[in-house]
Amino acid sequence: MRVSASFPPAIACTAVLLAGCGNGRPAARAEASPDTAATGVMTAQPHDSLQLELIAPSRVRTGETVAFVLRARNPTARPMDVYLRGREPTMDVVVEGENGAVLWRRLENEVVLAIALLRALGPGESFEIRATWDQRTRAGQWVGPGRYRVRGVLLMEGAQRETDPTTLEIVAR
Amino acid sequence: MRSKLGKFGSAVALSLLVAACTDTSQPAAPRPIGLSPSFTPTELAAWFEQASPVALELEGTVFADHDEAAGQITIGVEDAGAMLRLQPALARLGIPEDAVAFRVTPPIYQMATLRDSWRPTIGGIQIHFGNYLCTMGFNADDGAERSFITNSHCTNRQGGVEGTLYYQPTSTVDPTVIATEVEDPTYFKGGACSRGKACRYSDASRALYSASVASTRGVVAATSGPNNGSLTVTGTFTITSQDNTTQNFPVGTTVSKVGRTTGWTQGNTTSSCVNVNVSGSNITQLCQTLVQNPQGAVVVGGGDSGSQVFRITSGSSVELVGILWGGSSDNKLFVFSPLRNIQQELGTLVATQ
Repeated sequence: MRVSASFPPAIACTAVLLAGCGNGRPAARAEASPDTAATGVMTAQPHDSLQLELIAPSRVRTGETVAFVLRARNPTARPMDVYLRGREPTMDVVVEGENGAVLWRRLENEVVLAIALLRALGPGESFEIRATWDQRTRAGQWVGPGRYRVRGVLLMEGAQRETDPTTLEIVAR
Repeated sequence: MRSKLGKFGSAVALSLLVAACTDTSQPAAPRPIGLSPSFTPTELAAWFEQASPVALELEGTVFADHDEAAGQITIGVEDAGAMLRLQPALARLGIPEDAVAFRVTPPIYQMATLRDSWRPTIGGIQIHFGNYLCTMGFNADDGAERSFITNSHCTNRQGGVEGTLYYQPTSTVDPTVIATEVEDPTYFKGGACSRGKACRYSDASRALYSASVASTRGVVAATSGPNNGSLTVTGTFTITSQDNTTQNFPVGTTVSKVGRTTGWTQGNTTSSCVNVNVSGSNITQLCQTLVQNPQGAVVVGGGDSGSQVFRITSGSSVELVGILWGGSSDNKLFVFSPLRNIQQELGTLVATQ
């Protein structure tokens, strides 16, 4: 005998209580730079209303660690259950050159746990995941000064969800 | 495996009734003289109101229909026995025998998915603990203890026993604790394990069933086909053998898994006995097997953790080879721990039917 299942409110409530424990992997903070430009924010508005933002500096100096924040927010006036992949919310970051070639992908060749995590978001509530990039390509070479497109990717229970790309400029020291 | 509707049967039958009540309401064709008397639509409607709930209460009734087109009440029954049980009840209501036609019809089954409630439990279905969802890999006996196997990371803490409580499909749908974590070896350092890492040879744990919860050993839920995204259970696989020895699977070996997120997926082994770092942790899983679909199909998703991995030997008979625990971020590669490694760490398990 089976009964159709919807996700339990009881779990959702527990998830709210634990919301503070799952902010992803701690990432080293970017070193402060006097001329690091204002942070750029790109927002994607998927159809199911979960709002994704990639927060990244718009300009950094060569050699600086680049810090990214992926913020997922429930912009609606009602609670929202979000099913994520991993024991903690997990993000990918994709850095492309101006010609669209992928230079670095954070989770390339990584193996991620296939567990599903429920995060319950109240109205207006959000969570953040942090990641860093050392300005090297996947082959380990410095990318050098230039303009790059960066996208954040949230790993969901099933398919991934991406932010719109934002532009990152790397300038010589 | 499908089970009969049981107490939900009435609801489904009533749904059929609603549909049936939209039958063409053209004037009833005259009944052949001498075959049965004609009844007025008003009479039939009144009798149907009485007959339907009584009929649907009785085991073996499949549906009840006020068939306006035929000018009769039609009751679907599974067999003649059901009809014989029902006839006296209808007679007590004063409904003429000629007003009711019985039709032997197969029972109607509710289509269940891998995320629904299953008793007895079988491999491939959803389990829940804390804020997480995983997949019940397979049922197995460890000595006399009926258990299920899932991932070590599908416990409150990966490595070490914390007595994780499991629900199926979720605690809200059914608050019964179906099983409790009893075995999850701690991760070791040194030896074959790189510096700074914690290692094991399998991402596996064992949960002991609660006494009241029924489970079937050697059965895994099957959907309609591999890599089609369906989660609807249309049959079962039978575990007829288990591979207790292989660590190095030949490249190209076709294996499948059934999990609560992506259902039945299939691919070929691409590497064997590979040491794999778990993203975002200091854990290394030693001697694991990688699987990809040659056509690039999605083979894993969040929630598939714990899925059994098997080879189809013939028809629905399968050989158990391991347990899935992770995959690439694009969902096109999965990693599993060989059954040999699982038993090396959890002890001997009997998982066949």
